[in-house]
Amino acid sequence: MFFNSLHFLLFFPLVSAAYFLLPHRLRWVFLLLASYYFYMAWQPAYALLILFTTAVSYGTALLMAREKRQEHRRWYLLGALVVCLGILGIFKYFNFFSTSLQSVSAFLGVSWDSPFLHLLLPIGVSFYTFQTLSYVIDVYRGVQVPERHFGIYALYVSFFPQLVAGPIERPGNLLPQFRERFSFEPGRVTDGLKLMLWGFFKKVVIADNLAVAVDTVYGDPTRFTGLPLIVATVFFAFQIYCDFSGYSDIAIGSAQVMGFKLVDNFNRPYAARSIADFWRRWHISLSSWFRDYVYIPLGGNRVPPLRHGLNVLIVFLLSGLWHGAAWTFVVWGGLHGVYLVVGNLTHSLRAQTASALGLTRFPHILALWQIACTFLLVSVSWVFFRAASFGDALYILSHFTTDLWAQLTHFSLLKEVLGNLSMSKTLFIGALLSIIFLEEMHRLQRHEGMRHMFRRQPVWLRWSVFYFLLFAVLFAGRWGSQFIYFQF
Amino acid sequence: MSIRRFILLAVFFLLGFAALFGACSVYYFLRVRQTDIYLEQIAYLKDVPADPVVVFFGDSHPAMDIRTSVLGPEYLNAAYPSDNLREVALKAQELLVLYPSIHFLVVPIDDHVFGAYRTEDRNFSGILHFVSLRDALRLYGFHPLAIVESVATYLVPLAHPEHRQEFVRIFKQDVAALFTGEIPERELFWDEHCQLSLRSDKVWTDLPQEKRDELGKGRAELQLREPIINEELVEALDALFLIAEEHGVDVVGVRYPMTPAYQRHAASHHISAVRDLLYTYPFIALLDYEQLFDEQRDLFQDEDHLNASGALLFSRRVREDLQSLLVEP
Repeated sequence: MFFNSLHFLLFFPLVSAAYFLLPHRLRWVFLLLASYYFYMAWQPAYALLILFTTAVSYGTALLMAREKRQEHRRWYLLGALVVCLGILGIFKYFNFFSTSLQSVSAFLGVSWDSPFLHLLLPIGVSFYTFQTLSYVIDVYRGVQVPERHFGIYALYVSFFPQLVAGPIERPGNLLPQFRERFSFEPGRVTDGLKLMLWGFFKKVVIADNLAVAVDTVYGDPTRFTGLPLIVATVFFAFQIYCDFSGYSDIAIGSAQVMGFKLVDNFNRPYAARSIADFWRRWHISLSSWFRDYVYIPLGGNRVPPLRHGLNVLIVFLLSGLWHGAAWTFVVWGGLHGVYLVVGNLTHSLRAQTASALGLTRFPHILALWQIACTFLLVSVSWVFFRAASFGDALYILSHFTTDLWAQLTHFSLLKEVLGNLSMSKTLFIGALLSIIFLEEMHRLQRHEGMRHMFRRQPVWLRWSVFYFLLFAVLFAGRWGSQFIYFQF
Repeated sequence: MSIRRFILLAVFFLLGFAALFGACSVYYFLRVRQTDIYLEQIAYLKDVPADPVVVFFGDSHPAMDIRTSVLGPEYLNAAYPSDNLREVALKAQELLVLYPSIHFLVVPIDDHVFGAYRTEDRNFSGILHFVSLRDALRLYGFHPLAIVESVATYLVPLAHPEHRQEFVRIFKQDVAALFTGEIPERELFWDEHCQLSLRSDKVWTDLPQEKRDELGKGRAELQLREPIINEELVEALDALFLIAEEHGVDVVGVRYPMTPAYQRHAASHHISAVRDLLYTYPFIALLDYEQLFDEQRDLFQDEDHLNASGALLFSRRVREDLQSLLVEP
């Protein structure tokens, strides 16, 4: 079931109303059933996979808690990792590695028919697998008490608001909340609904309208040179942000309506002043997962500089692979790793240069420069993320400036170029305005959350904004397209 | 905030929303709906001036390829783009009651008639303008979400994204007309011969070979994806034959012209299973025109539709073939 479907618009009010009407002792059962129904609306058989992953991680955690010998505990952990990552590997990565191996064999002159599994990728498998792993690893580390109630634990793995695309929760945050008695609090409910509305606006109004131009250009990039490639890439930067953060807002908002507090997943990422800053603001739940379960165990930054650089690269290559079973995603992750390593190496040099140029006396200009540079680097990396193949990505990057000057200086050419984006004039202007509106909202809420900011405004202004968002979602939104992160 | 205040504010907010949405709905009913060609066709089908003998049903293939202006007043084209076999059966049932003069039902036997592509389209809000909810449910079956969506769309058209998009399109057009005084003409329109027509006439062969191949492949993959045979639509065809039998009329099957680019890619799908199944039905005649214009590709506008010139030629050919049936069934 997708958030932007009629099914969810009927499902959510019914589930949340029933949730508050039910006695506390029955709520977990109800939420568990609702969560499995939510998932099974897509592909019923794949609910068995979640159930299996849940049972394995639940059992392993209990065995680890009972076991005093560290070596045995380690074997239990390894077993759980093999099973959970094995499922992920078979469904998501088997064909990727198999075809890659075949390509390498062919390159070496060895003819070999690689096996190919005709399996549908289970929606959200990367998300719930990581959530399960964080539980097992936390129990192994002794920072999490194993959950003895199978139903509550199953709900932790399958909780419908964040089941298919996060935020990736930690057991320490979410598990205890299932035992809390949440009553109907009007303030919290309206805050949750407002966040959902903002999420829908970002998804169906901004992201899906920008997708029109992005899909046209990235669908067949060799038809384009210069400006359309730049416009589509910038549009994609905002499309993916609005698509994914929109999903997160709907997830966090819908959980909040029922009383649950999920972790924040985004914090104005395009206001980042460095790549390191970007990763503190983008997909926070995944970044912190990799930090806590991969980067720090590898030694983090408490190792020699060369090893530290390697650690960073490993984390980002894995992060790229987590996103998708294709070399373009690996390159995307690797590129961010390289950005970070180079960023660390040149940190003092950049600071000295800024100081020598006198930019430190104009902090706003310096900040703008840093934000622009970071956005540029991130946008270049998005080319690999969005392109259908490595060849397409290289074509796009190598043709950014081709014909650009002519396109910008000849109005008729500019008009023709923009006309080829499959967007009407109104839609193109609307897309630009929506990006400006988004960034203005971000600017306004840089010191405090949007919800707090709104509370101080008079009712007429608040309601006008809500009506505007609601009608924009209804009349300017595109309905029916999937969320990009569902495929991961 | 107390629960009482919350309820009060929620009621006021929803009333405000209802008022704004209601204003949009009024504009929709008074302005947007007047431009709806589907409803224009339904209105025509309810009050056809002549007594039709032969009626064409189906999706965009008969809707665009059959020109009633060539065929004569005893022919009626009730086809509409995206109509599936459930809509064909429902339209046939209603028309046979309205016009006892009908003797032949002409239905498409294209390879995608039972396809998932058509089966999954369960929104029957449009056909509710022509048949009762009970009749529609009989053929569409019990799919709770589809029923909610269809009935809600029928009662409150702006509940459906497609109608809202149409609302925005007409609204923008009207606002622009305030300044320019011009209202652009629609690409697809209901012409003076009471048939759907396209304003521009495209020629398929103007596209490069590579593009044609890509489009043919894309169309075949969309229309013929698995499952290529769906029980719901097989039941709809069964229902159509039952209706025909009850009214003592004959059913003719027509396979419409396709470009070689489409045919080539269609061949890699399980179309033989569809054809084998269709041959088990008691059609009085099966007219296969799929390869009719293989050597005249310039008569197509896209991978599976004829352009204006092609449609005229094709309609003449169909008339000749059907007239021999009318004389000697």
